[in-house]
Amino acid sequence: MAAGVSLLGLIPLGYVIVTSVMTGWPTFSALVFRPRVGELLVNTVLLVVVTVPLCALVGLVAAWIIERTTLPGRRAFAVLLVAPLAIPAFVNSYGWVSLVPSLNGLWSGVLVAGLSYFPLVYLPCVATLRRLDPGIEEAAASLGLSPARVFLRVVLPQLRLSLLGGSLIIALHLLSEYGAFALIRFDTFTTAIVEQFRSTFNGPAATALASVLVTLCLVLLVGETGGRGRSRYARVGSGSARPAPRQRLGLSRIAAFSFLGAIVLLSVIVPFASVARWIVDGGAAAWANPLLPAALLQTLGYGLVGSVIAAAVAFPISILAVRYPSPLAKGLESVNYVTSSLPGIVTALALVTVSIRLVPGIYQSALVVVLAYCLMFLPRAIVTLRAGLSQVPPGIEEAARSLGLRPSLTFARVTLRFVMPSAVAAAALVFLGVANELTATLLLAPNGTRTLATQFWSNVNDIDYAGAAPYATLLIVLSLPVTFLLFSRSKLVSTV
Amino acid sequence: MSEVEFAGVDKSFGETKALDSVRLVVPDGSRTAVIGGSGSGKSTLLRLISGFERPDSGVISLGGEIVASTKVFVPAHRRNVGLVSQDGSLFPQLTVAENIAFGMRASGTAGGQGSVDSLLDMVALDRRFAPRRPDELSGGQQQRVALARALARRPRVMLLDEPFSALDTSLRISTRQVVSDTLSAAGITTILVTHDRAEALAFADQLVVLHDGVLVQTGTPEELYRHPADLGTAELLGECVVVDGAITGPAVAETLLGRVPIAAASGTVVGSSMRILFRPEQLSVVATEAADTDVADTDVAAGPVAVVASVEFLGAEVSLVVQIGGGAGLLTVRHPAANAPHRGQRVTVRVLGAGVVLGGSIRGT
Repeated sequence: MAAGVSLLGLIPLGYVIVTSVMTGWPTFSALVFRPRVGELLVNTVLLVVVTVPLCALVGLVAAWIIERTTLPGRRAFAVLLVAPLAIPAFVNSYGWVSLVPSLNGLWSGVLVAGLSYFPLVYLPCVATLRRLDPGIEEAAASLGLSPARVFLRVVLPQLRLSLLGGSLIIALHLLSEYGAFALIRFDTFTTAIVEQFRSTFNGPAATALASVLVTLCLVLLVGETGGRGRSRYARVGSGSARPAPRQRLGLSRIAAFSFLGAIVLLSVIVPFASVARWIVDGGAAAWANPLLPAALLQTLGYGLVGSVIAAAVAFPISILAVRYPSPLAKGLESVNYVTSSLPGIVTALALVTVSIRLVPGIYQSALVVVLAYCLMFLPRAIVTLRAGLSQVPPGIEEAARSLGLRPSLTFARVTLRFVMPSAVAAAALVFLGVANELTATLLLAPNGTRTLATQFWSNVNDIDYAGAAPYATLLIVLSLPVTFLLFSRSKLVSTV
Repeated sequence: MSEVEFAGVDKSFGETKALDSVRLVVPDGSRTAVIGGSGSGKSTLLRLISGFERPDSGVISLGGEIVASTKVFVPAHRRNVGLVSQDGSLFPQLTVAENIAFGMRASGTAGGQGSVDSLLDMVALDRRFAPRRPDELSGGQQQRVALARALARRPRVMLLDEPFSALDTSLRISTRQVVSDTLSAAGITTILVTHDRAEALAFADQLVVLHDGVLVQTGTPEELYRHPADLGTAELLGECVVVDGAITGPAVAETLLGRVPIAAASGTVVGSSMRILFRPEQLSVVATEAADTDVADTDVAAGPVAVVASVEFLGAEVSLVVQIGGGAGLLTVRHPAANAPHRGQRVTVRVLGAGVVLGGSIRGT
C-alpha cells in the first residue's frame, strides 16, 4: 500500500520528465531557451534570493527576542508573530493591494511574501531556542566568551537546522505561490504556467516552463540536504532542565519593541484592516451572497475528505519509516517529499494530462482533486505522524504483547492511543493546506466547484474586493484553530 | 592567600532563600567539597562563583579581586573560572578536539593540536578520540573531555557540579580518580559540589556542609565525620547510631551500652541528659560464651549483653539489629559476614573509641 501511494507520488515528476522527452529536443529547447523564460528565471531566482534571507533574519531575531529577552508583552507577540500563518498569502496580497494599489514587481513580491512566510523560520527557531541546553551556553561563557560570541559560536550553529529547514520551506512556497504574485502583477514561473495553461491550454509550453521550475525545486532540495552537513545537533546527555536566562534589554528594548511592533503591524494588522474595511464597504449584502455557504460547505468537504485520506495513508508510511527503517522505506518517504516540494501547479498539470490520456473517466472529477491534495500535503501528515510514532515508548508495546495481545490489537489498543494527538494534528495540517489551496483547485476542479479560495479569487479577478472579503474572512477563521495548534505544538517539538 | 571568599552572601529566588549569609574561605590550591541535600543551595553557591547568578548582598572575591558585590559584577566570561557540569555540556556540533580547543582562542592561550593532545593525556583519554563527536563517547569520557576543555584555559578555580553523578558506580570511581589526580597535578583550586558522601570524603581537603542555604559546618573530612555539628551533618556523612545518655563525668556517660567515654562538646553539663552519637564501625559484637551467660547485663569491661534480632546479608558484611535489655534498646551493628552470629544468638556489644555528644537541633536528611 505504501508503495502504491508512492507510485502515485511519482506521477508529477514522471510527467514532467516523460513529456519533456516526448516533446523532442528541438521543440523543447526552443520553448525553454527564449527571452521570456530568462526573464521569469531572473524574477523567480531574485525573489528567492532576496526574500529567504530576509525572512530568516526576521524570524531569527524575532525568535531570539521572544525567547531570550525580558521584553514586556513578549507573550502577546509570541502569538501575534504566528498569526500570519492563518492568512493565506493571496489574502495578504489582496490586503496590501487594496491599501497600496500601485504595488507591483519584485520588491512588492518580496514584501508580501516575506510578511506571509517569515513565521516558517520563526516557529522552528523558537522551538529550538527553547530546547537548547543552557548548560552549554554557560560552559561557553565560563570558557571566556562574551554573550555576543556565545550566540555566534554556540547558539547560532545549533539553530542551523531550524534556519535551513524553515528557509527551504519558504523557498518552496515562493516557487509555488500563484495568487499572491498574480495580484501584484509580479511574474514568476508559477504565475506564467497558470496563465499559459488558462489562456491557451498549451501543453508543451506549460510543461517546458514546469520543467525549469521542477529543476529549481530539485536544486533547492539538494542544496538544503548538502547544507545540513553531517554534524549532529542532538543533545549529549540529559542536559539541564533549567530554562535559559533572559537578557535584560536596556534602552534597546525600545528598538526590540518597535521591531516586533512593525512586523506585526505589516504582517497582521494591514491585511486584517484591509479585510475589515472591505467587510464594512460590502455591508450585509456581501454576506447574503448565496454562493458563500456553498463554498464553505465544499471547502469543508474537500478539507475533511482530503485530511482523513491523507492521515490514513500517512499511517503505513510512517510506521514503515519508524519501525522498519530500510532503504526502501526511506525511498518511499523521499518520493513523497519530492512530490510535495513540487509546486501545486506542476502536480495539477500532471494530473490533468495523466487523467485525460490514461483514465479519461476521472478527468474533471472530485477524485482527481482529492488525489492532488493528497500528493501535495501528504508529507505534512507523515512528518507529524512520524514524530508521534517515534515517541511511543517501545517498551509499552512490548508489555502489551507480553500480556498476550496480538500485534494488530496492540496497535489498535496501545499504539493508536499514543499516536491519536499526532494523527489529529496531521489531519488538521492537511486541512489547512486544502482549505487555502488555490492553484491546483483552479486547474483540476470539476465545473461548478466553488471553494472559498476559488470564489475569493474569482471575486478579486472581477475587482469585486468587497465581495471577496467574506471569503477572506472565512478562510482566516478556518485557518486560525490550526495555526494555534501549530503554535502550541511548537512548544513541545520542533515541527516544520 | 584565599582563592575564593564569600563574605555574608545572601541569595533568594522569589520567596525561597537559597543562601543565607554564607561565609566561606577556600584556600589557594585546596580541594573543597560542598555537600548537602537537594535544595540545600550548593548549586547556587557554584553559580555565584561562576558568575551565572548575582548575590542579593554580600561580597564574593576570587584571588583577592572582588567579582560580585552590590556595586561590582564581573560577568562569567571574564572570571576565568572553569566549570564541569553534571552532563559535561559538551558542544554537540564540535569534535572532541574542537571542544577542548574552544576556550583557547578566547583566552589567548596557545592553541593547536599539541596542547589538545597533552590535555587528552592529562585526563587519561586516548588521542584517537580527538576527531570524534561527543555523542560517540561514553559518559565518563564526556566528563573527561569537559575537564580537559575547562583545563585548557588554566582557570584560577575549577568548579565541579556533581560531575560524576550521571555515571555508573565503577566508572564514577575511576573518573573521579582521574579528575582528582589531574587537578592535583595542575595545582588548581577546586570546588566540588555533591550529594554523595563517599565522593565528598574521598575528594576533599576541606568539607563544607550546607543545609537550607545555611553553611552548617566547615572542616577537614575527618573532623566533620568525627565531630559533626549536629545530627543532620552526622547523617549526611555516614550512618549513625544514636543513644540517650546521662552525663556522669567530664568525659563519661551512662548509656544502654554501659558507661562509655565521650568527647564532650563545650556546654555539656554533668548530670544532664544528652544524645550520644556513635558510628556503626565503633560498635562490634562478640558471641557470648556459654560460660559467660551469667555475666551482668551491663559489664563495663565486656559491654552489655544483647540478643540478635535480625541479620541482613550485605556481602562482605552483615548488618545486625541487636536488642539490649527488655526491648527498647535496638542497635544496628556491622559485623564481618565470615563469622556472623545467627538470629536469636546472645552477643556482647563492645564500644571502640568515644561517642560524640550531639548539640544542635534534630533534623533529618
